[in-house]
Amino acid sequence: MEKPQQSMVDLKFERDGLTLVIQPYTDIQEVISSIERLFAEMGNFVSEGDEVILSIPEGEKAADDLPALVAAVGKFGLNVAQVVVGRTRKTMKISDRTKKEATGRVSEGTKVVKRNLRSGQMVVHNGGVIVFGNVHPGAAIFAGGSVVVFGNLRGQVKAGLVEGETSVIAALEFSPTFLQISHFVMNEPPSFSQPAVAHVGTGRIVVEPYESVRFQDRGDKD
Amino acid sequence: MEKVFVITSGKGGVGKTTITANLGCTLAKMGDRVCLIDADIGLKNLDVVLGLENRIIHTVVDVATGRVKPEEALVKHKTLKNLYLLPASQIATKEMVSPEDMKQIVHELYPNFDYIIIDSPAGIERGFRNAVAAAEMAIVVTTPDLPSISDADRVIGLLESSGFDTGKIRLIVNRIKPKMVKRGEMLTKEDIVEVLAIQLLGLIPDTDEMVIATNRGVPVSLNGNEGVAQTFENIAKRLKGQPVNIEEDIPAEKLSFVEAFLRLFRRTRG
Repeated sequence: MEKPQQSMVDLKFERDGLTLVIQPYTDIQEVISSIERLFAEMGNFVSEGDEVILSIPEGEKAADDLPALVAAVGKFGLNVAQVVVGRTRKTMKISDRTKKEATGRVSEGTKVVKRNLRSGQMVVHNGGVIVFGNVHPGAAIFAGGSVVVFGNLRGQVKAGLVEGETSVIAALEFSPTFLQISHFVMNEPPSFSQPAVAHVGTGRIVVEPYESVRFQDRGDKD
Repeated sequence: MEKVFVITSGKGGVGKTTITANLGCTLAKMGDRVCLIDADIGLKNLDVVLGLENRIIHTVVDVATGRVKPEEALVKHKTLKNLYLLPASQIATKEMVSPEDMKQIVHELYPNFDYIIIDSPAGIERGFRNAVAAAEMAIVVTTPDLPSISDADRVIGLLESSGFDTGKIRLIVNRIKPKMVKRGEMLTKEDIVEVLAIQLLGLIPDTDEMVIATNRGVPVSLNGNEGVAQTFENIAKRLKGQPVNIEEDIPAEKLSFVEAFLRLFRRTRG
């Protein structure tokens, strides 16, 4: 059976940053068109100047095709920071989800959504996301930066996919089904009926009421 | 005011068809010309609930393929002269009708009717898209349980992304058991509205008369003006823009002898 083309290339978030994983292939042209399709679907998730790690399969063939691959990624304004040969680390997959609906408006790097996000709806954005409304169970937010919900957060949030572990997730009422900040994951997060913040502290996600939160990184270093 | 409604839910078995039939009967009883369209091709039920299954000659598929005009396929109700049904075919599939076909059919029927109500199938696939395509307003039906509410939320999201303004989507909560709500064993209407954040159109209590009427092929709203028939009248009035207090939907329960006695007792003590 023929494998679906989409699985040929995949964008994943690894410990070192955004990684474009290329599976073993036979035809370089197919890989390049898959890359183009993937970035077209991702919409504004990646923006010009972002760095990406290229993960290519082992073997001489891939090494020969490297310039063509770098050029394909470069067409979307991305810089290849590093090339990894073969697969070594555990990764988290994000690209599957981005095929679904993306909503809201981009302005100044932050996406502002002024409605309830319902089950099955999702927001994908490479910067921060602010939602004025509730995030219902079954809805999802994938953000490069921080996520702030002025309402009840009961869906799934992945934050810091670009900016890393300095990103936070905050909501007026806090009972999400799943949290991720950078590569840190939290299943069954605690619930708060008051404003609460999730952030990364001492190597894991910490969820605290807003009044008692102490950030390790206060975001004013630069 | 809007005159083309779709009754939908996502989850099956919450009472879409029964509500479509009763709302149609109630509006027709009030003197409006009403057309019901069964969009559940392949699993049709609306004709059975209305007691018209023996009178079908042409179906919505015949209309979509151009074999007959929409007016020729309409089935007139036995007692209500201004209630018509555009039946679904049981042997066809939902793929044989497109959302554009539905728009065209509703467009042709539009001038002849005061209200057109489309009964949507369960699910969010082709049948749902067909049913929703021509509607001006969507009525989402849910029962007071979490799976049904979760599906309703998904459907509201889909309606929004298919172009419905949130203000054009209404909610009916079906099968409410007032006694259980009172005891705190069932989600209240406030709980449900808070979760779904959508305007409430009506509350329908879970009563035996609904089950009996559905199986008899005579919608409950044709059994006089008492009980649930009154609830549907309230909903119909709200659709027409008349303000009717939502609390009036659940008929006041009749007290048993013991309850009445206890209440009297408490009152004299208190």
